[in-house]
Amino acid sequence: MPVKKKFVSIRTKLVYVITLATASLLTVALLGVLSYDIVTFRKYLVDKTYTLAEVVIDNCTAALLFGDQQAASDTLSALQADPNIKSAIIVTKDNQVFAKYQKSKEIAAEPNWQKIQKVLQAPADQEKNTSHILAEFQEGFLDVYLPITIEQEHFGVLVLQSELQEIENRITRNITIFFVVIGLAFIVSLFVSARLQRVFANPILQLSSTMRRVSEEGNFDLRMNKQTNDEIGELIDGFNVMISQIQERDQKLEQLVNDLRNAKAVAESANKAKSLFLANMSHELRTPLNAIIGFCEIVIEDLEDAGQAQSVSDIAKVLTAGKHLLSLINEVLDFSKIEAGKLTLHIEDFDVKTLIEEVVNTVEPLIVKNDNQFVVNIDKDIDVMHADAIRVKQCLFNLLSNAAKFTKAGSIYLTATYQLEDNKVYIYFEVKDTGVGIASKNLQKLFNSFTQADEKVSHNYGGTGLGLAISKRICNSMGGDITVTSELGQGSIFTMVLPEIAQTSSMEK
Amino acid sequence: MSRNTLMAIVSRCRFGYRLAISFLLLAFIFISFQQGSAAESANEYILKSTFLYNFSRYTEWPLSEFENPDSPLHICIVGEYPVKNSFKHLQNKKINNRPLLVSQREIDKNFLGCHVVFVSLSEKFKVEKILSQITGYVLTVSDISSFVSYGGVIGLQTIRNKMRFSVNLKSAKQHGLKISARLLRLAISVEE
Repeated sequence: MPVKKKFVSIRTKLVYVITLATASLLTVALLGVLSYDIVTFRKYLVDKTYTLAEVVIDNCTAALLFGDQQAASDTLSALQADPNIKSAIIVTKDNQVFAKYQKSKEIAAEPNWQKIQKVLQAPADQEKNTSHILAEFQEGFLDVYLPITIEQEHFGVLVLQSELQEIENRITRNITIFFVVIGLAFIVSLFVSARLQRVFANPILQLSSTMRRVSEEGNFDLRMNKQTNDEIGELIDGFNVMISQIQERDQKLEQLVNDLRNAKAVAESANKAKSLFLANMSHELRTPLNAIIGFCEIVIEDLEDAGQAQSVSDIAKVLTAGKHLLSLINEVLDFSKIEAGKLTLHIEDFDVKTLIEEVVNTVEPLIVKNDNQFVVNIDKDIDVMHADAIRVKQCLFNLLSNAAKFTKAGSIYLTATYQLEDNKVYIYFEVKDTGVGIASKNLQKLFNSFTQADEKVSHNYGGTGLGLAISKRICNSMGGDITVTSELGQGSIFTMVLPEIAQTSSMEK
Repeated sequence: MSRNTLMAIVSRCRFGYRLAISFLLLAFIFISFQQGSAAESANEYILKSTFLYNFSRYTEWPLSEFENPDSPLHICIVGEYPVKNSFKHLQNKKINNRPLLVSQREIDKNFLGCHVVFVSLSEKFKVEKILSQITGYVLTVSDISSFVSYGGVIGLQTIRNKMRFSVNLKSAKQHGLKISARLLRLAISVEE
């Protein structure tokens, strides 16, 4: 809607419509009646003047016949009784003014000789039929020309001039009546329409208020009573049906939401139980494993002391396997902790260069084992970081050991740089290798739990598939991230970004 | 030559000729005067006849006087009047579809069948006699002075060059005539 229209109630509109319709109807009707009245009145006036003229003629004929002008004038003077008659003139057939009467002496009445000639020349026997041409309205006067005829012979003409004051008064009076009636009708129709509009407006207003209540209170139990069997009744029926449908749907939806919520709760509690079980289990598993590893080391020392080199290598294999198992269990434990939301970070200040050195020392044998070159490049301006040093080390180790694992006779580069973004310092740890690389379709699921690039990988290289998932989540928990770009057969670049000052917040999920 | 001859005749007859012309002139003036007066009285009588005609218009006879609605109305003229046929022009006229019948009546004859009797001025010494002869539904009209007081119905008189009339309503009633009020209003006097 381009223009917001002012709200006008249907009540008001109905009252307007009814009142205007009534008023216009009445106007047309009254105008018709009034104009008919004026036309009729004009005709009446003509007839009246005509009749008067006939009476005058009746009384003057004898005087005209006997040439008695005095008597004729006396007769005409009787016209004083009618204030509308302005003048009366009797003209003989020889076009002589025989007698004259004037209401006011000021203006001498002069008859229209042409008209008189016309009347005198008209056939005498048709006098009754030509009455209409003998009457003429002009500028506030009505002129009536009537021949004085005896035995089918015209003896003269009577000219009567009547003032139209009466007709003007009548028009004025009619207009007054018109406005009074219209005004009264307007008021009455306003009253009547104010009552009549309820028939239409009330059910609609009820409907509207019910709708408002439904939408404001959200009470879908409301129903309307159908009072009339018409379109409004249908509207109310439709409204009721709609409301019940919405209510029904709402109930179904609520049921569905409840079901889903329950299912979710069940699933979550099951997941929690699983994580708790895993955490407990790996903790329980570590205790005997630590014993095995510890005693293996003692046995190796004892055997070395005894000079039994052959046995040492056997026990050493047990020790390696034990350590591998421990790392696997640790990963599972970490993951369980993360899943259960129980991963706790120990934020402290530490020297990044020292940390990298430690990781490099730890990972170098793995890299060298696969005939790889290892190039480490650290920005000399990087020094202290505020984060969980052990977890950072874990992540970095994970990335480097992965690189070592999937690269043979190649190169592995570790580059540490820093950048300023949004007034914060971010440290970039980039691990680049020239190994097998990852197909682009597998890049997406690389950080998912228990997933490696594909199933064959776990066969060829081993591992739980949890390492990257754990590292990414750890980085996330410190306000950082791990991203990857890779191409199959061309190697991979893993980039770990961490803020210089860790933000520990988002692990509570 | 002829010119000389003519001159001779004129000069010779000069006196006699003059006398003759003067005589002729006098005679002509006399005749024309006579004629003028005759014309005047002719006009007067035409006006009188018109009055007579109009009196008849405003007078009502009993229906029994006529055979049918278009039976003629008899107008009888008694006595002499200067110009002949002054009343003749009424012959073509009608009153309420009744044709007018104009006839000359002798004094000694009865007036049977007459509806209107006009007594001429010439009969002014015989008025009483004539009126006594007229009975029944007859409208009597005359230009004899005091005609009304003799018992005539309508008397014409000229006052200040205008034709006027008096009505004797009593006589009208005696003759069984109804005279219209319109006519009575125009009368200079009405005797009851």
